Amino acid sequence: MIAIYFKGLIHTLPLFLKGLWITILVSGISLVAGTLIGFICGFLRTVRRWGLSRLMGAYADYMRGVPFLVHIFIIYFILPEIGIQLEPFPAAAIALTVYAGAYISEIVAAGILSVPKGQSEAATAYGLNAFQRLRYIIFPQAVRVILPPLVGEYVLLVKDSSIVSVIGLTDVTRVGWLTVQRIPEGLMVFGLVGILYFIICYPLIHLSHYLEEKVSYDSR
Amino acid sequence: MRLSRRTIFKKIAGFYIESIRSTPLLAQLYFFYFGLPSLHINLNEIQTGILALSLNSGAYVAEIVRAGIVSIPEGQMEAATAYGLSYLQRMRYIILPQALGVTIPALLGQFIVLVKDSSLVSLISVLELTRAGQLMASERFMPAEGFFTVAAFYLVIYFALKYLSTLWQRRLIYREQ
Repeated sequence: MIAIYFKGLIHTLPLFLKGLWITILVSGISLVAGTLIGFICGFLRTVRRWGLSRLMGAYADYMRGVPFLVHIFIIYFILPEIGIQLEPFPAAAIALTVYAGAYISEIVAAGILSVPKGQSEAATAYGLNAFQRLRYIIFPQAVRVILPPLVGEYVLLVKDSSIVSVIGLTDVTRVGWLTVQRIPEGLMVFGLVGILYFIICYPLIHLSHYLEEKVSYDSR
Repeated sequence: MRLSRRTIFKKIAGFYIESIRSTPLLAQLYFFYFGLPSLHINLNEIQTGILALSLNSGAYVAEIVRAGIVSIPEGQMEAATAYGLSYLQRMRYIILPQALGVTIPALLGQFIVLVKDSSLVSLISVLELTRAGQLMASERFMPAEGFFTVAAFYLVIYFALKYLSTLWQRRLIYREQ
């Protein structure tokens, strides 16, 4: 019995790889876009003017407080009511981007704030403008604090991308879900799904640990 | 366990933590939901959800606790050994009381994540907050009302936990002074 199921599973392997590709694609796109948004918002968060930091704080709080599943439902089911109809793929990418962007903005803001104030003041005394200060003085120092949790956040992003399967995007998790309807061997099917995620996430987790050790080593 | 010197314990704990941390909760949830019946273990949806969530957050909490234990200076352990305390006593009276205080904010943070993750059990048709929102959307065609209410409820829980966490952090700083 198990052998038959196993054979069936081998036959669906291309489908799994296709799903894996979708997972990588959707998390890759939102990884790049989310990082961009995260860095901009994280920087704005440290600006003490025009209520910007409060606004960004509210954005981050909202994203951190509400489950991703609810976000994706809001984007996929409520936006059509105001006339924005999205396909599953863009909806998923947007939801993931906005979600990851909030977390990354928190990381970036913490990184920028970790640079002592004297650095910025000294740079001002040198006659550098705001952009130059950020680009040449603050940022190079902040990156060391930002990098390890940023990679950790990418791991979360890949894992959260599994949730987009609920709006019908055929990523690895959905392929598993579809397969288990035909091959009623959940342990095997989702074991395989787990292994595929493991292949992506495990190296990333170790990269994060490695960066963390490297940073703490450098600062000694 | 992770810090134990016995390699078998270390390996088992390491395998558990790594495998949970590098796979999505949704896959774990489906793994138990679709997988356990083929081992002739029949749990209902709520039990499956609780099992998956517990195993999932257990791994993350383990990492937090490990970091807390590691943060205690080694001298504490050595001093306790010099006093003639056994390993269990050292852990119980010297290390853990100090480690737990440091880990509480991180534990609360993990708890926030857990509350959010619990929304996923709606996908194996457990009637909880998110599922209620879905029903609102599908049966009464009120997705906006349904999901925004759901979001508001989650936000209330989030802010309460966040407040607790800042309170505790303030206390930690206060104690150090």
